[in-house]
Amino acid sequence: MIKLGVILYCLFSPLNVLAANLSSIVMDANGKPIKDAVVYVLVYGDNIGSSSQKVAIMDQVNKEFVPYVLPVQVGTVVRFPNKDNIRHHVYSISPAKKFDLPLYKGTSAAPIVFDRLGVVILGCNIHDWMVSYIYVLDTPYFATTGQDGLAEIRGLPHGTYEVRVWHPLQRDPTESMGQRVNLSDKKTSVNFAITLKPDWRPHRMPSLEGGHY
Amino acid sequence: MVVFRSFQSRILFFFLGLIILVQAIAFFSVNTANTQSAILQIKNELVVGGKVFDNLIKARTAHLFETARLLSGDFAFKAAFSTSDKPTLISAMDNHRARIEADVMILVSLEDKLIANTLDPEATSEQFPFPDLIRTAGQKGEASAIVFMDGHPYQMVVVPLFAPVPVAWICTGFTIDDVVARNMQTMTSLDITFIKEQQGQNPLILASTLSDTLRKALPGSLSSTIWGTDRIASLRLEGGDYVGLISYLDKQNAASVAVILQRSMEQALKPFYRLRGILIILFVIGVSISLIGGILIAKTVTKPVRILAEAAYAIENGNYQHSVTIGQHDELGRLASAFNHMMSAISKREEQIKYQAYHDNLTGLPNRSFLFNQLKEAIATAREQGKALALIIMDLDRFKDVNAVLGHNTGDTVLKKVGPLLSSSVHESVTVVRMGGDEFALLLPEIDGVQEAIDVVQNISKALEAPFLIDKNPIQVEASFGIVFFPEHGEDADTLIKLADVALYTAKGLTSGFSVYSPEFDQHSLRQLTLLGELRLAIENEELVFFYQPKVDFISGRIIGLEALLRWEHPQHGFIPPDDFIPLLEGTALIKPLTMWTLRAALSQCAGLNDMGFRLDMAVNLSARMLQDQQIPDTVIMLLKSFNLQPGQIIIEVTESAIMADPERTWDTIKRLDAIGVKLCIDDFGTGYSSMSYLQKLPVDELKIDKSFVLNMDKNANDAAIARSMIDLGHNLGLKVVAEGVENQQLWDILKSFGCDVAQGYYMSKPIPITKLIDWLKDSTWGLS
Repeated sequence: MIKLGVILYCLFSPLNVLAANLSSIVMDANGKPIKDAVVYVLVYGDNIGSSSQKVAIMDQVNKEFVPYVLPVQVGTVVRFPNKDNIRHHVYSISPAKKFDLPLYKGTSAAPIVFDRLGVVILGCNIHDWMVSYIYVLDTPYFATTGQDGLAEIRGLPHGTYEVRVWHPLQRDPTESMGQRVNLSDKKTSVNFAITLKPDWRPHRMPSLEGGHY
Repeated sequence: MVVFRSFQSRILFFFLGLIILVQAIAFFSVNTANTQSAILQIKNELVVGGKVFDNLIKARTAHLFETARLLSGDFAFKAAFSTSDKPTLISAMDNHRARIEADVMILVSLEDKLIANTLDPEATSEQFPFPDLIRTAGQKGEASAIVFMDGHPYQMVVVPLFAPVPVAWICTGFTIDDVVARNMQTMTSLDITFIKEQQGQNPLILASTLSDTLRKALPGSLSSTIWGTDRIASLRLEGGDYVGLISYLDKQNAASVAVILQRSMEQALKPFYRLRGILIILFVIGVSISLIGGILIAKTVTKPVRILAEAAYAIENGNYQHSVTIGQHDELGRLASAFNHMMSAISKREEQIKYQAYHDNLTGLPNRSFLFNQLKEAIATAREQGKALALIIMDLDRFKDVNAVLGHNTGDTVLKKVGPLLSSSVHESVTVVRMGGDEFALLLPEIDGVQEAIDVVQNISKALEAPFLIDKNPIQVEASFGIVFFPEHGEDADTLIKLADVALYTAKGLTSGFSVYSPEFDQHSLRQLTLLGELRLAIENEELVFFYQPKVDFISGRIIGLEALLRWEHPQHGFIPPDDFIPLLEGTALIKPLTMWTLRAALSQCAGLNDMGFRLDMAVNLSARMLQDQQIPDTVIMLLKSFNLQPGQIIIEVTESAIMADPERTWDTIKRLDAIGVKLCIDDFGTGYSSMSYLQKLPVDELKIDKSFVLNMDKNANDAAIARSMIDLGHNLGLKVVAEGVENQQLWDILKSFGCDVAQGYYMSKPIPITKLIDWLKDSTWGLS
């Protein structure tokens, strides 16, 4: 998925300026790779490209949100197709986007524009365990780490940027996790070591016991 | 030691004491067991109550949790939360709070900041008062604790509000107040008191089901209470005893709330007290029943015993009719029955003994003792009624002969026949008894005259005329009768019997065969009885003297001999003739020495007279008894020798009746005396029952006619004729005849004319003492041979 995003970016990037690539590995304090961490590059100036991606997808498959973490550039429209044969009631009370998609099936839910920066935590009213995060960013340049903790961002213009990392369970605020980097032809890698808070997600049915992990 | 007079009270006391002891032991054992059981029960109730209470608290907490958790899943609440509109939020919270019946709901941010509080909606402070609670929730995912807000205790739970991840903490809880306490009380049946322990002070009561007074008293009491390992202790509040259990709600939090669950001992022991009351009632009933039962049973024992004792007393007093009735069929009943049998057996035996005492075995007639009693009664009756009664004593003549000749068996048979004969010869009112031997008595309890008694006697005599046929032998029996009358002759039984005996004695010699008592006899016999005693003394005191009466020959007119007559010069009675006292001696041991003395004295005197020159025959009287004594002849021989006398000088005079009384025995003595050479004279001839043939054989020398024939000879022709015949008879038998009682010349002449040989009498001289005799011999006109 991430790779797809990168490929898409490379293909549709109007500025065929010399693009730099950034790879990043995110790990925890013990060196264990962390999945679902969003690495993003803060771009200054007017030269903020916009992501070619104008529509993002937050899918519901098998009573789970897919992806768990969806970084989008502000202004992106997110669609919520329901691949399950049951209805879901998607909602969020996050200040960044409060919305509520009452019980719907398939693609009947109206897509939603995420027009504010911030974290939007999604839940399903019917299925308490369903959680996902939409991280609305101010940059088109972001990638999510995979199982290996690796995130790669391509097509970055040369320059000096701040690279940050964000994880839903991150203890320290994202602002404090910034690292300056000078992007050039070379492949640059920036690594992060973050500390995570315990995950409070309710267990999937049937044993719904809040608080235990 | 208490002494019990009655067997009954002893039984009762023992019985009752035993029952009381047993019941008391039972009572106290049961009581103790019950008390212990009750206390154990109370403790168990406490423990159970404590467990129930714990479960109640857990349940409430669990309920809170569940409802809080449900709330956290409530979309509407999440929506309300998302509005950030505090009033809306508070009203939504209140609504939800009410739904779950909580008393408070507080929302706390993830940053430990107070968002909203239903109890204090206007609060501006962002300080959540229980950060520890949130910390625990943060660690464990949820938390519960007892917390204090405004001094009130709350049971609080904290759960995360999921949207979908934890976005806030929901704190909700309920107060702990009296209502809660009362609810708990309903479930546990214990008094609930929530307290907060305070350092250095009495615990603070937060809520309680206790009354105000007890509430005030409890904290003080608790300070000094020491809880056991089972967390149970006794409490004493306002004079009441309680048992309490202490429990801590929040075990981790030391400063948290504790709960005292308590139970009034009195309350708990109420059923036990009821039981004890019942036991006491049972105890009392048991004792009462035992008492009554004991009395009844004791009575069933003592009453019969008393009855038996009374019956025993009755028997002691001779009452054999007092039969015992005891209705029981047990041992006592058997005792009573045995008692009755015994009583009738004793009665029968007594009857038997009485009968034997008063009856004669042989004849079946009553006996002497019976007569005595009957006589006494009859005398009393006769005295009362002023009537006369008669007592007749009879005996069979010469009964000794029957026994001797025919044997005692025959004699007994005779007696046996006499009895019924007597009974049938008299009126049934007459009491017939056998006095003993051959003596019988008849009591005529009421007579109108002397003749009546005489008639009875004659009837009997007539009846006896017919001989008894015994072993084909006819046996003739004759009887003599002595008759006395009351009140004429005597006034008491002893006297009458004695006098009747006297009369009987006098009847012996009479042809009529009976004799009515005359006072003359009495003097005689009375004197006789006393005389015997005096006679002994008389011998010693030389009151016995010999008088001598001369005998004169009719033809020669000379004094030829003397008769020695024993006289008694009694100091009071004066001169007593030998006839009056010799017979008394007959049966006694005195007769022999007396006889010896007589012989000696007479023979001695004879020898003395011889020495003086008066050669005279000496006649000495021998009694019948002495005549039977084998030693007499030897004595005579000895005396003759010692006084140097010729046997021919001595004449032994023996009465006709004495000889005839026992002809066989006397025969030997007479023969021997004759052989010695002593002369023998039959005295009082004509008054006995001589047999001619025997007379013929007897070696006697003289015959002495009884004075009764001589005295009236001059006036009575019969007497003269008899005297004459006797003289002839004597001569025909070759005997010399002596006449006694020659008192005057006429008699002398008549006798002389009849040819009598010797005379003795007052005409010549009365019997005189020796000194006078000697003088008379010297001076007498009658010459000496």
